[in-house]
Amino acid sequence: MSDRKRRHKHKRYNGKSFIILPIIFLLGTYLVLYLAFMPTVTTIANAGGLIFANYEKDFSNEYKNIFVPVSENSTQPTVTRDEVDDNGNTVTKEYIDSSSIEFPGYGNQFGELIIEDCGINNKLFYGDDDVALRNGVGIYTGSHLPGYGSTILVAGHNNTYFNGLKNAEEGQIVTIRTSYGNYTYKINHTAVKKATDTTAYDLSADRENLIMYTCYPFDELGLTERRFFVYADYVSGPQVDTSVQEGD
Amino acid sequence: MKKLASIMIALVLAATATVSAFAAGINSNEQKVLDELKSVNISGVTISADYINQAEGYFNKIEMTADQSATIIKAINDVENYVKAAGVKDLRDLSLDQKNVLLGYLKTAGSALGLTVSFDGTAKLIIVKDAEGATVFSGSPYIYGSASSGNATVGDKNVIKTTGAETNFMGFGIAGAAAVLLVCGGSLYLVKTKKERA
Repeated sequence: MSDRKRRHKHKRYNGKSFIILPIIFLLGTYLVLYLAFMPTVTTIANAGGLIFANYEKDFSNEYKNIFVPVSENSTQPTVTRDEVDDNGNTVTKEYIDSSSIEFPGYGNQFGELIIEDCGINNKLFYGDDDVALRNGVGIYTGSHLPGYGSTILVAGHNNTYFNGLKNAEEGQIVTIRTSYGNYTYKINHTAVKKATDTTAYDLSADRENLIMYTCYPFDELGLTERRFFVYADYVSGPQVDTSVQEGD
Repeated sequence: MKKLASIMIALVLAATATVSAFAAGINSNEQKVLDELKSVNISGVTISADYINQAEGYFNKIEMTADQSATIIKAINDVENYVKAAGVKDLRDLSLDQKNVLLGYLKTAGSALGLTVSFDGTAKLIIVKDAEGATVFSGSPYIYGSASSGNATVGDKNVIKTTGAETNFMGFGIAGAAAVLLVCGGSLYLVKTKKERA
């Protein structure tokens, strides 16, 4: 054995060289990359999610649930108003008394959204933040609720609660159940549009309609610029009295 | 016995008179605020439907008084007058100090309803919370369209959310730890074999 080999044979390997330095190098490199390319962190995390299957976790303590299903024979307090229809005839219409409705707060579960043909049966939230979309699908608070006569804009993740939207077709029925009534909508068309396309929705519409959307393509990882929109027309369900009440 | 019967009748009447009722939709005070918001036009910029709908959604849960309504409408008018006095042609040209003044008016309006208004500079989010600390509004203001052509609106920049694959940070953490072990093991192997080869 050479002198050099004999000297090195007795040298103790320092743990610093093999463990601490690589960890420091890895963490330092990650920090630099994270700060420089923050949007791509989601992509990396999603790749990790591919390797390990999502586990079922109970997030129910993250939100308040005010949903109480409406039974078949139950009746809601109503108010009646005489209105003039399109033909100029006076008709008496019945509306749900708004004081009998517990309007949901931001982040509350207040209903369920069901599309049987797509295998969708989800909790419905008021608000579409991370908590809502982690537990179900959420209504954008800048839109309206069922029964309020305007656009209802609903978001959901493409790999979880709105994965079934890929099977959405014209003619399918969407059911929304709330504590104040059950509503049905019929899908009239679907479209792929950019997330920044403001023509994809009309939040000031004067007729009740439902728009559901999720990221597109359905198997895309990370950030996508396109969304899959599903449009549906109102079919049935009680309308809420939105007339202005007297204030003090 | 008569007194007992009277007490029982009074109790029953009191119980039946206690009708559980929620805030009854939009009252006239709230409608005045909504009408004021719809009429806002600052340097050709109006307020978008999504912001007005969010205000209406919140008003559906409360009962605004006339005084509260007057305070809020005054704050809205103060915003309009301030921007007009500043002579800013495009709201995007407002300085940071000017924006902070506008935020102050927003806070005044919010405090009339017991709300706290804050601005997250990192996320560029206006956050409004109620007295219990619950979030009632969270949005990133953005000006759409062209003020010079008269069709600009200020509204939520993030109407359409990111709804891609859900993140599993546990998986990422395990993958990251595995990568560290791999690097450590690889380093040890390379150094040892290098020494042996030498």
